[in-house]
Amino acid sequence: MIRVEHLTKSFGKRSAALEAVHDISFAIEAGDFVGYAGPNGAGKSTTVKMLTGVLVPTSGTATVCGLVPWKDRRRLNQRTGVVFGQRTQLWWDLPVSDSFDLVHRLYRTSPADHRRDVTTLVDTLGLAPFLERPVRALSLGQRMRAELAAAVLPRPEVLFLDEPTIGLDVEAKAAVRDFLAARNREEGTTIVLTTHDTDDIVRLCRRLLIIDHGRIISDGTVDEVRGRFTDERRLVVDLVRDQPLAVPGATVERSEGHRRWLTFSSRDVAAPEMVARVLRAVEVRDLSLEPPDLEDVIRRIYRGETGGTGPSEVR
Amino acid sequence: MVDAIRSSIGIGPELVRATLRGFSADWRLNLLRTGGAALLVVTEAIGAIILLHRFEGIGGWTTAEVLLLFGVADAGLGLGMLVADPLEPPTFSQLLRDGRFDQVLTRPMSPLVWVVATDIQIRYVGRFVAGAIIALVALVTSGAAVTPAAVALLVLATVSMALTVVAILTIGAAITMYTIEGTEVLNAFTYGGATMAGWPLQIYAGALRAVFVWAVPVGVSVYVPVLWILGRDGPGGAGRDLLAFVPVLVLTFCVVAAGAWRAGLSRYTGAGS
Ligand SMILES: Nc1ncnc2c1ncn2[C@@H]1O[C@H](COP(=O)(O)OP(=O)(O)O)[C@@H](O)[C@H]1O
Ligand SMILES: [Mg+2]
Repeated sequence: MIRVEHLTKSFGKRSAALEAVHDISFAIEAGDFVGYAGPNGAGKSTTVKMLTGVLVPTSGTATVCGLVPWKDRRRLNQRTGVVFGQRTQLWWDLPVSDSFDLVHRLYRTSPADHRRDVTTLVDTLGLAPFLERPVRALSLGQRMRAELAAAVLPRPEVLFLDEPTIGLDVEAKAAVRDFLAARNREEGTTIVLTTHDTDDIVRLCRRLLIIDHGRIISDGTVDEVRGRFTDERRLVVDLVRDQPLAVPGATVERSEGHRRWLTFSSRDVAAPEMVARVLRAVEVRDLSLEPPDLEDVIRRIYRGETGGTGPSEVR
Repeated sequence: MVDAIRSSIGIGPELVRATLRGFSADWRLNLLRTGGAALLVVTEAIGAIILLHRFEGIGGWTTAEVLLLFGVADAGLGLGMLVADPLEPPTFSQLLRDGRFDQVLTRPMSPLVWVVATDIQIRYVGRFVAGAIIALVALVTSGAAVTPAAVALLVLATVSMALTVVAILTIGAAITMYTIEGTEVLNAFTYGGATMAGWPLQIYAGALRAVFVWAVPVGVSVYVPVLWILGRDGPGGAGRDLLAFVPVLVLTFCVVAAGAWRAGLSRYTGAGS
């Protein structure tokens, strides 16, 4: 569905050029849900802009739906949807329903399909209360829901979302995530989502690409990436009494009231043995063993740690 | 191909209607602006009349004859700006910098049509209407024969002028795409060109005249058709024999502008992050 080969984009004059994206390559299969993560300025938006035909790359090639985006922009745009989190695709001064109508005309969708899709989307995204309100009068959460509806009305094969959950409250985030998950599951829409919210990735994505300084530094399924530091474990312990806790082989990462967060390496101490050591040392009300947190893993990947080498390792 | 054209222009009228619906919200303000634009043209015309009266015409042209040029130039400029105002460097530069143009480029249609259609400035109707009325009144009082051919030539002159203005601003927008920051240099050819076209071309020095005939057909598009209407002839190099060339020059200029626009798009670097 998407093939990217040695794609590079630099900004500015040749002498003082900034390589926003440097020689990236990857392929995304139809129906996949891919997270594209990286810190601010990593090159996420630049990549999305090249794949949607907004920007012409400095070198390298890419195809989306078999088309070269910057050469066949209009034909491709007919088949893809794009949402930029901080910007609107809707008509600022017009009611949401008018925007839907213009989308219908712009993409020349069949009137019957359009009407059916609008009805379904108004229902699933809860748009009814503000359907007739001008876009400028909507809250960010409402606008993002309307934005998503407008983006999928043309029934795109690929959906690019650039930070769609940025600035949203918990409830709106959940609505956006539920919608995207359903869209991917039920319509088979290929989704590429850039974010620096690891919750988005954990809840939605099967595959995770990590970009930093314009280079892909990790590419693999979310589970693989999570498994990169498989030997790391976290044990959360609730004590009966507030007392100091010291266990050989573990470090106390955090301590709050009666709760202690311990981290240890399962290569040095097996998890059952660690639990036994804790139980021997103190009186415990409750405990839970957690796999490594994706956020920590990503942070370690940014720092250049590789962890256990697996299929997720990139060059 | 036909499909591509249909999908580019197809929704244009819809977008314009949507834009106008936005306008109707504060129609009083827009009416005021439109009236203001018309008044500006009328004031300029009165200024020209006073001047012409004092010098008893210019270059052998009577007041009515000069006002015919004047009216057509303003009508053409008004019509052109009605379409192309969103391409003016400050406006277009803003569109680029706040990221709206990136959005436009994700739509399956011509970004040029989109930019134009979503930001129609109806106040230019005032300039167009005032210019057209001045031209018609001047035509009648000039003593020239008011024939269908004369009216057709007036339309040709107005449309040529409008197309030239749109083309100039399209080139300007292409430059803005490259520099992001807008520059106003091209106003010399739009507003400046319209002011020039409002006077008989023969009063200008040869080199200047050549620029406005051959490089930017803003002068020739008004002047030559008007020569025919008035049954006059112009100076060498800008005479009435050029009439057949006017559409050619204007359309060539439009093709150049389209090429510039496409070159601008391929060098466009986006709004940043
Ligand atoms: N139009 C531009 N001109 C110059 N530099 C740019 C432009 N767009 C982006 N950049 C730079 O390219 C790098 C990558 O930007 P971007 O792709 O927007 O990052 P992200 O979306 O991951 O935050 C940043 O250093 C940014 O400043
Ligand atoms: Mg970004």
